[in-house]
Amino acid sequence: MPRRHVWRSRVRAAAIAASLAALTVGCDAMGVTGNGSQDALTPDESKAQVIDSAREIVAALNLDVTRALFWRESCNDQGEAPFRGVVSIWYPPAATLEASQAEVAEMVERLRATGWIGADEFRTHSTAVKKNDVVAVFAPQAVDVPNRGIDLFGACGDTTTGHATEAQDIALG
Amino acid sequence: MPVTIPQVAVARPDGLTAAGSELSRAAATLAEQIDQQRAASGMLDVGWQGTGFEAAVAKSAPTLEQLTRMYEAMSRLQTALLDGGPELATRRSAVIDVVGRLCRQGWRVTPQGGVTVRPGSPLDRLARRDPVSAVRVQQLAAANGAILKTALAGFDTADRGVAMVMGEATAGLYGQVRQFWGAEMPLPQSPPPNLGPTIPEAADPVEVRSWWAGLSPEDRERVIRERPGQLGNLDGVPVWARSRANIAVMHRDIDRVEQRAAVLGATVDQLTDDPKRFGLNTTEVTRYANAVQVRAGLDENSKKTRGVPTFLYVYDPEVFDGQGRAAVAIGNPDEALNTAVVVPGTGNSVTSGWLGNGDAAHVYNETTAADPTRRTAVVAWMGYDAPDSLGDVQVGQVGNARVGGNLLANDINALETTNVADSHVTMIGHSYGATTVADACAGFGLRADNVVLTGCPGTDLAGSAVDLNLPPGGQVFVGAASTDPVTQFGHVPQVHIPATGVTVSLGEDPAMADFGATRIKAEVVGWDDEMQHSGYLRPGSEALFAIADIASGHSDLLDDHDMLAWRRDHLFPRIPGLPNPVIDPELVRPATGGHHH
Repeated sequence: MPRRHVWRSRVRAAAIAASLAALTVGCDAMGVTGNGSQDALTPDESKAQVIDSAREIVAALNLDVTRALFWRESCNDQGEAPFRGVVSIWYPPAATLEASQAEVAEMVERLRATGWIGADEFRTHSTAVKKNDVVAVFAPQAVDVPNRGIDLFGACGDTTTGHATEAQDIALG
Repeated sequence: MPVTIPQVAVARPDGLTAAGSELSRAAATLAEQIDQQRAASGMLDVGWQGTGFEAAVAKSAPTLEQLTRMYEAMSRLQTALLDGGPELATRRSAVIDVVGRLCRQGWRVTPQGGVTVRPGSPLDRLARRDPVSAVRVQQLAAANGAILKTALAGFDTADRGVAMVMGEATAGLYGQVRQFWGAEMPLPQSPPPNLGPTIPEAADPVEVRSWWAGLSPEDRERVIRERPGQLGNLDGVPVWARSRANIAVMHRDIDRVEQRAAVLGATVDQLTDDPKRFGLNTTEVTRYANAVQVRAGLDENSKKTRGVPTFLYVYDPEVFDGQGRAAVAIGNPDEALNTAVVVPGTGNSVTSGWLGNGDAAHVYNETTAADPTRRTAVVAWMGYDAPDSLGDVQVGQVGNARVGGNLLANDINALETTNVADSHVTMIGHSYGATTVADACAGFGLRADNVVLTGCPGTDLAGSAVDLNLPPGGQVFVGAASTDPVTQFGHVPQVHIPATGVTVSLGEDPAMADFGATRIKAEVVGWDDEMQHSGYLRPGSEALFAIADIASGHSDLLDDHDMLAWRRDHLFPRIPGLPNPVIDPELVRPATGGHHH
């Protein structure tokens, strides 16, 4: 084999080896810590964080809750730590999408009066506010979605939990 | 002769369930006897040689085989009984409930299901009041009669279905009986069963759609109920019907194990740890494990989208070495104006629980927020054999992506056949799933309006965006965080290993300017981890916001929303043989925030 070809083969082999090595270190090493650096939370603290915030919102808005759910979700798509608590509050739809939009705007204003501020770093087509490391997202009413909702995302600080949990009904009253 | 109400009233379907339970115990006992006999044969083998030994083995082998076949038939039969008993009980209750309600309302019900006014009842007095009331009462009687006869037909069909399945379950024994008792012995004869409409399993989706459209409502119900395994994955059948059939099969896979555990007083874990001891096989355990994950996928996606109905579009729990293949839709793709398909990457499978992990629900919630006025469906597609982990040799090869691309194209193109409108379809692939999406479009004719490749390690068969063959106006979008190392793999040239069919490395980096895709912002605010491969679909991320613009049919707003990113490019014009570093302008851009409609 000509010397130049040997050199090319070696370069190619090195490139392949490098790519395989890179591929095999990938996602497992790619933990994602979530909403910025977070203080560590125990599973109980992580749960209490979002449930307490959900209770505060329900009380402040005097919300007609039809269902409330809690679950723990991974902060990355590998299903690994860290985890955060999530609460989904369901409430009935308004008469029209426009009426719902006006109601949500009014609810957000009421929450701002209790210390909730815009969650500018949380990008969403919904309206998001935050307080105490919890982001509350007001989903707009949408066709074919039987309920309106407010989803609360806690901080990605639970490194104890080992796996996501199924959504469980909770009482916020 | 159709079944009558008195026959339904005296039927005791719970007896079938009890018999199935009893059969479970008997099967378990038989399994122990088979084990003992095998063990005894093994001991003979050790301590006995010669012609006497051979004669003993020759005599015991058929007995062991007969016992084994009998055990297998018992297992099949107990499954048929445990499946059929509850179904018949439900049907019987429906008939009894309707009859009871009609009698209380003042109707007279004939044994065949006819409904007339009971003389002297308030209905009778109403009918006699004037001609208009008489006609209304007559119409009511006819409507109630139709309801009752439908319920009766449902029971009748279920009854025949159970009989057929039981016949099939024990069919293998007839040969054994002949072998045992001689060919001259007459076997019980039964009329050929009425199997209902023939399912055109080999037909193309358009032909299947025509066949389905030609069925009566009763025949459709019958096919779903009696042959769900054949119907559930048949392209051309509406999603709602496929889903009902697949869910029925899924429930059987779950009930088969959980009912047996309940009957035997064991835990499910005990059964799955030692299935043979409890009359199960490993395939049944595999199906159970995957069925539980699929059920969770259906439930979780509905809960995480505030009660949107979910559909089981694809269900095949045994394939891919038991990792299973399934697709769950949030919202009905047949009725959707916007359909997004989420394809995950390495390390995910039905077994791993990806279907319920929230990726698809996040896309659904953000897409409906981007446009609440259009009906939306999001398909969580776990329909291919993704590499098991980053240690799996397949992760750097294209084989699984190409096979998966073919499956993906078939599954998604079939939706065109049954969609009642012209749905806008967006494919969203992540990591190895992005390679699979690229292959589906470039190599297997997947018809999508837009494609989003996130965290893409290479586009394999697509050398450029044009190769994805999107229709006029369609665009390829790329979400590649500047610090996501997986998106750098596209700079490693592909190598085909001669005579093996193996191709190492996954192809082009679609974030490069010369690929011709549109790059969306996909950096992440505040993450202190330098590796950013695993958060493209996280609520609050730039990428999810931009994906929702695209999936909702509003990619024209990406510029207005400041969600377009500069693409990667080489520092210098290319000169062969000279190093030419790649510059990523996104590396110096802080992630943006505060995007609201």
